[in-house]
Amino acid sequence: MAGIYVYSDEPGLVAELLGFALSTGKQACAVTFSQEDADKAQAFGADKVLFFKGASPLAENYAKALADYLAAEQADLFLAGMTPRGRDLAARVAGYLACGMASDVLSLTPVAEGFTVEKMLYGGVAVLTETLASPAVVTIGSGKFDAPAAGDSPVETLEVPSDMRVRLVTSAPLVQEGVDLNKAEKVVGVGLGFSKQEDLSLAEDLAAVLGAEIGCTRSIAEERKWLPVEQYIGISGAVIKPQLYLSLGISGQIQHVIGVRDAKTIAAINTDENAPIFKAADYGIVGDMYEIAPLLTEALKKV
Amino acid sequence: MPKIVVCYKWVLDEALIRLRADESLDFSAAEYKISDYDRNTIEAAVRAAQAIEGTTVGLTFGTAEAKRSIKDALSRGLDESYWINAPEASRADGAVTASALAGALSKIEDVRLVVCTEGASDTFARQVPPRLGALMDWPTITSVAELHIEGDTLTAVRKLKDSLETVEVTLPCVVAVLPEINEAPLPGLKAVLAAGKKPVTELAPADIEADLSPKVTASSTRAYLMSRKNLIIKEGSAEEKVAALVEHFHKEGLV
Amino acid sequence: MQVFTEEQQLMINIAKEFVQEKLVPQIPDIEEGNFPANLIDELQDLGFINMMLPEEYGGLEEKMVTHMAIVEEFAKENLTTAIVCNSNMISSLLIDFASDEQKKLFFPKYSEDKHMAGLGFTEPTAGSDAAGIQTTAVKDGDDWILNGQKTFVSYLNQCSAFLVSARTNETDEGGISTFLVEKDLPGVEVGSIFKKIGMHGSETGELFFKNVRVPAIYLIGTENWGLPLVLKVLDEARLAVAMCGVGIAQGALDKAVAYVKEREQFGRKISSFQGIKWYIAEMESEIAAARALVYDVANDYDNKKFITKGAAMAKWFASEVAMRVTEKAVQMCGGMGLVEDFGLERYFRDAKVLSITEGTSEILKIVIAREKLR
Repeated sequence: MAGIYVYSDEPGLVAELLGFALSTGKQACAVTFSQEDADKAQAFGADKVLFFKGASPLAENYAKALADYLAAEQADLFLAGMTPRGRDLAARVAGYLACGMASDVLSLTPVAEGFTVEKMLYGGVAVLTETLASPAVVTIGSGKFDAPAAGDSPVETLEVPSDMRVRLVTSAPLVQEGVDLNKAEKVVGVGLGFSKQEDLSLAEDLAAVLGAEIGCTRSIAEERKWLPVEQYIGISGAVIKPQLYLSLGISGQIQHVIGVRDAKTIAAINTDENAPIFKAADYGIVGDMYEIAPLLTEALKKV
Repeated sequence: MPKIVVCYKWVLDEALIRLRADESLDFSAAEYKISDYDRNTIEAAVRAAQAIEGTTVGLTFGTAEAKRSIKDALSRGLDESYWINAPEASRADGAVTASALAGALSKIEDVRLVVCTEGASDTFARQVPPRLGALMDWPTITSVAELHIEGDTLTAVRKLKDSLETVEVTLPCVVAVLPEINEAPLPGLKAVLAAGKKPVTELAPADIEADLSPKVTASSTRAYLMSRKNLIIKEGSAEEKVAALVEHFHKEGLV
Repeated sequence: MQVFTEEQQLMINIAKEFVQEKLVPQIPDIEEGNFPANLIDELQDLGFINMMLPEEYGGLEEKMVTHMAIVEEFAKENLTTAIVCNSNMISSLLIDFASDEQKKLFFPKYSEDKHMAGLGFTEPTAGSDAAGIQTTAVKDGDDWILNGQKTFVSYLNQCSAFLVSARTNETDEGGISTFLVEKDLPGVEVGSIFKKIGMHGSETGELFFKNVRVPAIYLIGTENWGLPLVLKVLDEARLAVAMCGVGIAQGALDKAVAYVKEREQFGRKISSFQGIKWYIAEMESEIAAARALVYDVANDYDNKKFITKGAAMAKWFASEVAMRVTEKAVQMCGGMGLVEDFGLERYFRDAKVLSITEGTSEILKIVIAREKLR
């Protein structure tokens, strides 16, 4: 049956995606691959919860079965949450359906011919508007749609073959080497303006007074290896939305700025008044971070 | 000899895209480059080739412009290169790219492994590797942070949202690697000179079986604008500047 | 405009990337006199040093033109390192003048083992007048015994050996020979290190020889006919210094342009003022002219032409351009131009070095005129 089929390995996101599906007036179905997820999804208010039951514990290994089902049902849209697993499954489904897909969209709107989406291009410099005909596949993040009122949805269990070629050996929780920047209210970011690793203590002192966590640019984590990779902010690293992002000695290349541009307030300290970070900042000080940061730490102590 | 194929993309250097006064994008100063993350992918393939005692083959789907990528890619350690020269590449979506790559891959013998980057630096759509796996009906592993090959078994550590997942597969397969998989060295000048002597195969769309009609219709591109207050403190002593910033933080309720 | 092949362009791109990612973060250290030990290794491993040598001696057999393009990229950010890339100045000399036996002995050292060799020609009483030297070498069995002193020897910190000129015969018309003298030989002593205006990454100072016993095989070229060899080294060194001038000037102008495009005064960007525009136009044109001249001479070199006049012309012109351009660049940036952290004042100081090292502008003009009047 035509409709919108949603999947995410984050339960909260499943509810939000169902909110979009229901808002279109089309049939809204949650797709799950374990009894546990099916049970959770039951309460989200979907028209139907589908449980694809098979031998593999990995959701993406059901891509072929799901694609066959969606084709048979003449689905309008497969909408997945933009987590690594959601994207993987979505792209495989799009591959099997040989249909259009838009990844990690900023917005999603139903239109007569299918769906219109906006997405970032060139590392966030540009926004591209695209139209996809049905059937379409889209991935999107959280915070775009409201979850619907809770309900009690019927669960339909489908016994399907799964692809057993990729075998799960172990799964371990991702041990955060650094801090979880996503949870931080305030983040102090450090960049190549720091000439020695010891000097990061300037940022640590400031962060301690602010109650902030430390983040960094890709070069600090991947080239200098001064901080764990989990702590780098940017398009291929952490994308965060703190109340305050304060950057120290960061030039502000677009790839980094994308990681913080949803921050409520962005402040920057940099020697170079032409540094692009100032264009992305609410407040900035043109000055030597080595001089400014300790003064700011002291000033904030007095507040 | 078994082959490892590396798919890479020749992209515009986004750092050189400028914004015009009318908020449209100015590409006139933008140069092309091998997508940054592809450098790590090439390095991953070069290391994998040592494990299977095989050779590495670069593969790119691009317009005539992409010809310039070939020696660059070869200088990074690849043994030979395939280039699908197609004007369609300029408006390709994930479906088209995956189809073209699959078409070219069927022309290359004894491929044991296809290594892609998780996402290209221009679109960062992260579609092509799983699509390619689906089209070729090969097992596919994405978000790969570590890669080991022993005999016919490939073991990968996948970095997912909040878990590290170790999976294994029997070759052949498609993998999509994260840039953190290794540190890609700068190629030496000697490697650049050697690149000119390596074999290159050019394929035209007619040479491959592929569906080159996009499934997604692009309607417009605009600059992503950030509206920020841009209150930049340039004048005064360091103490005065700090005081002014603290005052702003106060008003924002941040301290 | 010099047209580059695809390979040359790739090499230039690698140089640009190396300079931005690896070199720039180390410049503060280099300028404080702590030249990182592994930097020379990295430069050599990537092929930036010794690129013109034949492959059998660890080189790439690249052209002077490619070498010049690489030197410019380094000079845009750091003069000290650009000159290091110019290398083992003695390498090309060994190719031309050393015997097969000497090549076998020296090359593994100066290519694979990454030793650097510098030049020691100048003496307190013999600078531009290279023939007026007083350091002597006297034959003693199979060895030579060196006595005397050299001054303004650069890269005392990086080099493990120096090509030294010494008087080997008082009566012969030539009477000067050149020796490769290793720094750790008994009797070789480093004297004062001079504090100088620019090129702070290189230790420049005195080298003393007290009964230094040098085996005969370390005499490079023909006994008593070392002067032509000194002059050939100088030709190549001058061409590289000329390109350093181009690079320094371009680096300074680019920094200044980035500044004036953003700096606002009287409610507008200062790049919109006509006075600034005229500066920019003059600077960019002069740099282009200097670069064209350097490549013209480099092409002559690659075509095996005599470059004594060309190298002198290029060095005189490019170093004068570097001084004019860096002075204007500092001026355009006002107060910031004077600030050490902003990085422009170093270009201004380094440019001055270029008009003196490897032959002052005045000596170069004598050379140019002499060649023209031949």
